[in-house]
Formats: sequence, C-alpha cells, structure tokens
Amino acid sequence: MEAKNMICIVCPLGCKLKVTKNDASPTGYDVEGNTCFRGAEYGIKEMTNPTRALTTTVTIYGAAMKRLPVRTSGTIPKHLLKQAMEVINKVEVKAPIQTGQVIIKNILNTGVDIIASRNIYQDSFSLGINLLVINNLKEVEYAYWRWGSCF
Amino acid sequence: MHYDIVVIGGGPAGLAAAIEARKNGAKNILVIERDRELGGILQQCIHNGFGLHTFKEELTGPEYAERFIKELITMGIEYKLDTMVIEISGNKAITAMNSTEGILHIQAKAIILAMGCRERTRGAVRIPGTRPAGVLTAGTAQRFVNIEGYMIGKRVVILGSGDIGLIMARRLTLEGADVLAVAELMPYSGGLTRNIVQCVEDFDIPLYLSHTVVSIEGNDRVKAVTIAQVDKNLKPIKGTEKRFECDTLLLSVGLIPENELTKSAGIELDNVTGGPIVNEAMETSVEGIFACGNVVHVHDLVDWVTEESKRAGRSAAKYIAGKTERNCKTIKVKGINGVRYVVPHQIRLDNVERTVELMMRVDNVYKDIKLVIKSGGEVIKEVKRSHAAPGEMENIKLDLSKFTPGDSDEIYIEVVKEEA
Repeated sequence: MEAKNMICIVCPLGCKLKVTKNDASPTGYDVEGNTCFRGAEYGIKEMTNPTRALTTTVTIYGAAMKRLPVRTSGTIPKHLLKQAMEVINKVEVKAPIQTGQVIIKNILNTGVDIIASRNIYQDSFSLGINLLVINNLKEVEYAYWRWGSCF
Repeated sequence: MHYDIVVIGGGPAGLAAAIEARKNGAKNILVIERDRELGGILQQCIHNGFGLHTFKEELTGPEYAERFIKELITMGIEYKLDTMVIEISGNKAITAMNSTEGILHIQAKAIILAMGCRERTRGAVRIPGTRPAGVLTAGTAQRFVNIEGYMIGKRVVILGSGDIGLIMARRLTLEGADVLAVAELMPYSGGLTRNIVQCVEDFDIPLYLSHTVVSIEGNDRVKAVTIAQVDKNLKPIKGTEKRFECDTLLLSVGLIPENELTKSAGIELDNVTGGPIVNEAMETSVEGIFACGNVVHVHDLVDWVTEESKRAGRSAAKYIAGKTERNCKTIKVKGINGVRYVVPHQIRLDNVERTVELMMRVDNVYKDIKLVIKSGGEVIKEVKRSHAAPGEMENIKLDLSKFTPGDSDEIYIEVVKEEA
C-alpha cells in the first residue's frame, strides 16, 4: 500500500499525518493524524500535486530600497519553483509600486500572478513632483514614512 | 518635549502598542524608531506565514507591517524615524538623538519599551578558527539579500536551525546559492515545523542535528567550515568531522532581548528570558514603564507579539488615566519541572478582568504531556499537548474570575507526563 508520513504545514501546529492510498475512499486517500479538515486536504494534495507559495524580490529602481519584495498570488506546483525564480529574476521595476500590484501576470501559465508585497515610493526628487498632484494629506504622510529622512 | 506615552521602537510591538493605547483614550503618543522606516524586522522578512492568528490569512512580513503602519498614520500618532534613544531614566526622562534635531530631551508620563532583540554572533557562541570575511548572522544576510540587494555567497553552511536560519537556507537556495548543510547543536531543531518542511526538506538540504562548527578556515574569505557531531554534554566527538568547502557561514544561533535601555532605567531583569520582569499589565518593576514583544522574551510568531503589545498599550493608557489598581494582592507565576519560563512573572489579581494569558516555553522536546497549573498544591488548570518543543511557545488562557489565592501567593506551572 502506498503510504507516506509527513508533517502538516498548513498552520503552526505541525500535525503528523499519515496518508495512505485507498481507492475505496471518495478522495482516493486516507489521512490520519490531522486535527482539522485543512490538514486532510493538505495531505492529499502533497500526494497528488504539492504546491507552494513563493516569496522573493525583484530589482527596483528609483527607490531607497534596492529590492521590491514580491509573492505569488496563490500557490504554484512545487516543481516549478526554480523555473519561476528564473522568470522573476529577469524582471526589473520602477518606483512607485503599490502593495498587490501585479508584477508578472500568469507566471508559467499557472494562472497565478506575481504581486508586490509592499508599497515603495519614488526617491525624493520624483516625490517632489508627486506631491503636487497628491491632495490628500494622509497620502503625503503615508509617503513620509516610506521616505522618512529624505524630506 | 512632553508626551503622555513614548513608545521606543517602531516594529510590530511598538506599532501595536501605540495603536492600542490610542484606541483606549491616550492622546499624546510618540513612537521613536532608529531605522529609516517603521515596521522593524518585518520589512526584511519577505516570506509568508505572518498573521494567521491576527488576520486569519497568510501575509508576508512587509504586508503585516503595512496594516499597522497605515492604521498608526490614519490615527495621527506622531513618530520620529532615524532617531536613536540613548538613555531612559527611572523617572521616565528620555534622551534621544537624530541628525536633524540633535539631542532631544523628552519627558513621558508612561514609556513602552519595544526595542526587540538582537542576534547572537560568532563571539557569543565561541567558534574556533580564523576570522575571515563571510561569517554573518542570518538576519544580517537577510537584510543584505532582501532589501539592499546583495548576494552574500555562493556556497553556504548554516549553523543553527532557528527560524531565520531555515528561512535563509531556502532563500539563498532560490537565489542560486548551494546550501551545503544546516548544522544544529541540539538533538532537535529550534525552528517551527513548517519551516523545517518548507525550507529544508523541500530543497533536500541536509539537516545535521547534534552537530556544531569546530573550525573555520580562510584568511581573507571563508574557505572551508568543519562540523562535528556532539555528545550528550554538547562536546564535539573526535572522528565525526565533516569538512565543507564554502565561502560563507551563516549563524542562526539565537536571539537576545535588547535591554541596554531597560538597564539604564534600573528595571529588574529575568535571567532566563533576558528581558524585564513584567506583571499582567506588561508593566516592569518601574511604575509606568511597560514592555512588550521580543524585548521581554523572544517570540516565534509575530501574532503573539501583537497580542502582548496590545495589552501593554491598553495598560499604559489605563495607567496615565490613573485607573490602575496598585495596592492589591500580587501573585507570582513560576515555571518548574520542564517549564523554562512564564510571562507575565506576576499577576495583580484586581487588575485581571477575567482571564490572563500566560506565555511559556518548555525546556525540551516532549510527547503526550499535560501542562499543569497549580496553586498551593491545588490544580487550577490542565492543558494537554501531544507535542511540545522549546521552539514553539505555549499559550494558555487562564480564567481567574473564580480564583481565590488562599494562603499561597504563587502559581506554578509544570510539565507532567501523561500515562498512556
């Protein structure tokens, strides 16, 4: 019988799962050791199509930071992680960038996007021009914390 | 300058404390941060998994920080960046400095300490060998790679399997480096289970438990690192050495609460946690000075930092409003028989609304145990755990509404093995 021991990583509890192939079960597998339904889903997925979220950075120009943190909008197949990195490492972006902004659409045809995971404002020179068009004081203040000492 | 509450540190702890203090009626609040932006270490923790408890979703570090920063700014809470606090005194006078305003003297009615922690370095773990470039702490490497955009090496050995070490093993692998080994002194990993699975096992990086670095070679740059197995007394065993040719050694060998300022204010510290002794309100031994987050004890999940810091913020607001009950029965909380420490250390019963949250760490890996809370020989509460490890903090909510201290003014928490 095909069986695999694994540790569930859905949440920090880290339940120890035993997933066994069982054609009689509606899902095709029996999962033991899980304490919630998400654990059972995870166990079956690890046997059929293991997926992972990917977090990395891309080069950003015109900002105080040299790298923009990005992540996958969902999870992608585990075996595609390295290939995805190759695609992401070719990308360079310019500030400003908003949290959630799509950096790469539909990476490797997975249906998952690579999105920015933080706001990054432009450097002080460009920011001066930006301020002319920002009327909302809150946004200026928001820019201030991203920009701090450069004002 | 006068403020009602000054928060020292603009990381997750400081942000949550300041926001919660404002929500509880405190008006005149200042957050002081030494970095160029708010958010603290979260800004370099670009991996996901933050906020599962607080927001019920998986966020990256910068995303988690951004939610709090936005809230802080929307509330109009004042903050100073690039500003370093150099001293605080017991009467809540703060000396700080920055390059635009010079030396600042700030008087506060209440202070919240949220300075976080520091990484232990090569000196702290006394690794023998030469002293070449290429020996970095994992957090420093994380900042270089994730924010400054420098790759720190091509062939890497990591000592310590704490969370940052494991996360950097994955990060460097993804960025094209060869991570040759992760060595851990203890027979178990100090990191979260999900990090062992996702960061090390997923990439087939060998994890050597009960191993340590016995030698570093190289003059200008690291050339090789030798690890060896250790015995029960953590001494290297001859003949078990493994040599790795590499250019970088990362250290993830623990964190120490950063308490220089705490000491300057004459606040009492706990030898086990390395942080101040606090009560149920997260108040230190000096009245009106509160502490929260990693400066008190090192957490493994930021969600618990947020939780704890909210309590500190609420308490500080209550304190400046003069609503804290000071002259009441105080009980001490102690960890014994397998419980290394418990925070808070003291509970003033009249200040507890209903429940108090106890955070603790066990001293070893245990299976099928009960955490038993006792007072004067009587069991108050038992919590079952099928698995407990030093790397995973335990949280217990204790209902004290029906608790009468009796003769004893101490509560003990211990590990009891469950009979099969």
